[in-house]
Amino acid sequence: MRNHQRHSHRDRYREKWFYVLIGPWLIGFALFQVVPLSAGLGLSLFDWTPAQPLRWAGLTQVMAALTDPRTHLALVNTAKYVLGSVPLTLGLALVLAMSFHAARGMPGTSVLRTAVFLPSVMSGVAIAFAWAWLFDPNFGPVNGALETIGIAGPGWFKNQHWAMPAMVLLSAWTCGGAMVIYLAALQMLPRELHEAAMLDGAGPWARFRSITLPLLSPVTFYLIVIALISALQLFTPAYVITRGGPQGATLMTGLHVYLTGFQFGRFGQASALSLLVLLIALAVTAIQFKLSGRWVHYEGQK
Amino acid sequence: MGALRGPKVRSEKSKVESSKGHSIFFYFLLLTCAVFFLFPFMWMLSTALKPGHLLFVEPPVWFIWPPAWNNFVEAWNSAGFGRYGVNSMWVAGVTIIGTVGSSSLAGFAFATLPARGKRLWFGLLLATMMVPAWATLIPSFLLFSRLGLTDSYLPFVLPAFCAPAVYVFLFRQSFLGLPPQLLDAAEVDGATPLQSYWHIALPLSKPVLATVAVFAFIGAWNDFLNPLIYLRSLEKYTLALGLSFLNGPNFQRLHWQMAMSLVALAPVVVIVLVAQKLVVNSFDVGGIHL
Repeated sequence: MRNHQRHSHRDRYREKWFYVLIGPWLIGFALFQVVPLSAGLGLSLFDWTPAQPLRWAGLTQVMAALTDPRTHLALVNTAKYVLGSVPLTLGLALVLAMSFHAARGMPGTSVLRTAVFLPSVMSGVAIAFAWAWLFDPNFGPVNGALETIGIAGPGWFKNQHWAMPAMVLLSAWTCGGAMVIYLAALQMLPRELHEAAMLDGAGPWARFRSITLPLLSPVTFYLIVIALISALQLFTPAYVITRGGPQGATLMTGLHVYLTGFQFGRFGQASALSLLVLLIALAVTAIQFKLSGRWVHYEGQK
Repeated sequence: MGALRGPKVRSEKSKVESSKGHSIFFYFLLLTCAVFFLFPFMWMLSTALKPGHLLFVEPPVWFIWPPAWNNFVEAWNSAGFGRYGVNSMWVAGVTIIGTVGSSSLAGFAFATLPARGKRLWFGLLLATMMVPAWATLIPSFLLFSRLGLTDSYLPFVLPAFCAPAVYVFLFRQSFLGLPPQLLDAAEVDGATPLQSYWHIALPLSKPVLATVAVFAFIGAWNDFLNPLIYLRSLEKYTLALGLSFLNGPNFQRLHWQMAMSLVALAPVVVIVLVAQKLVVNSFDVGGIHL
């Protein structure tokens, strides 16, 4: 009895400390998640400009957000971006990681790895500037190089059809983060499976298809989940390079929310839009977790 | 992958030789790739060191002697970049302190202290990692502007002190690896959890501390959206925000733009080079086995 009491005293003591130490997080969770999300819901239903008092708007702002042709454009563009950038970025990251894995131990590989990794931590205004100037239709080196092999380069960010591909190429340039994650995973793969398959006469492609790829599937799954959420939020390059143009070709969800609120001053509508983005992010994540059972292979899974 | 197909492996010796051949092949492949990945930086540097009249020529000019170092000085003086740089350093510094302090405390609690409701809070913590920043951006902005707190760093520095979920998770993963005997012994000796955290957990977790500090710095330094929506007065601009104004449909001074872009990238490059091992290894720690 006494022992039991002492035990529960210790439990209460540690519980108290638990809540003290996570206190800052709890406050932040309330202030920067719960309050804004509830306020966002309210804002979608009220007409709320910074200077004026609240006015009940019902579902008009939600409907306005949903029927705005630019919303459809932003969603379609984001989908295009995802379909282009996710396979390209992850494919390139995997090929690079496997190459680094194969060339491990050679002198200077860490320098090469840093070179590939660097662009991925430099997302920002400077990188957007560099990319726009690199792909300048008339004076940039990309079209300059294309010209020397007899190809007239497109207008890239100044052309409605080529702006999105240029944006996708920018994302491929920042594949270093995914590459490093793949490389870490490759280094932890058990060697025995590969050796056994080699003895059975499996070629490199067969070993890649039936050993490496399935063993990496949890990592791939994680990277896809993260890539989709960050695509929904992509802002800086679209804002800095094109402001969503030309003719809305690079208007994506993040930029659309920003422009609706901060450029056109329709904060209620922007709020409804950001809730829509949240719902899409949650739905897409849920669907991915649901589908993951079919293709993601966890080792030692019960 | 076709290049992987070598001669059929038969003996142990030829296996070793062919794998050496593979290594050399991949080495040169990577060398080529690295050049491509660094190419944009070289183009930036080349532009930053060119005199203005050589910017818009076909085909592009790469090298010009002597380099126009003066571009950096002129660009620096074209706006208050010194001021913006100090502001960015200040924001990044405060963000590092807040992030490392608050998330390591929360991570320690999640890793070592049992409590009722812990599973629920941890689930919510993971869930907030999936909530896009955009979902809360507009209402947060309106709330801060109602409170008269815009045109200050508070709206984006304050959240750093509230234990950003990703970093809590990283710290938790790291603290889970602490030897439990050590913590138990400390408790028997009468140490409070805070003392165990300070005297045992932190000294044994220097790599993860440094990693979180590096990522907090990079995040704050690169942040463009928050300064863009919250800051109004010129003297409060951060480097990223100030830099963004060297742009526009009629902006011709691309040598200035590239020079200041390089200045903005420099601290991140330096930190990545210094903390290379840490940053690269940090990906082993957490996140993958979600």
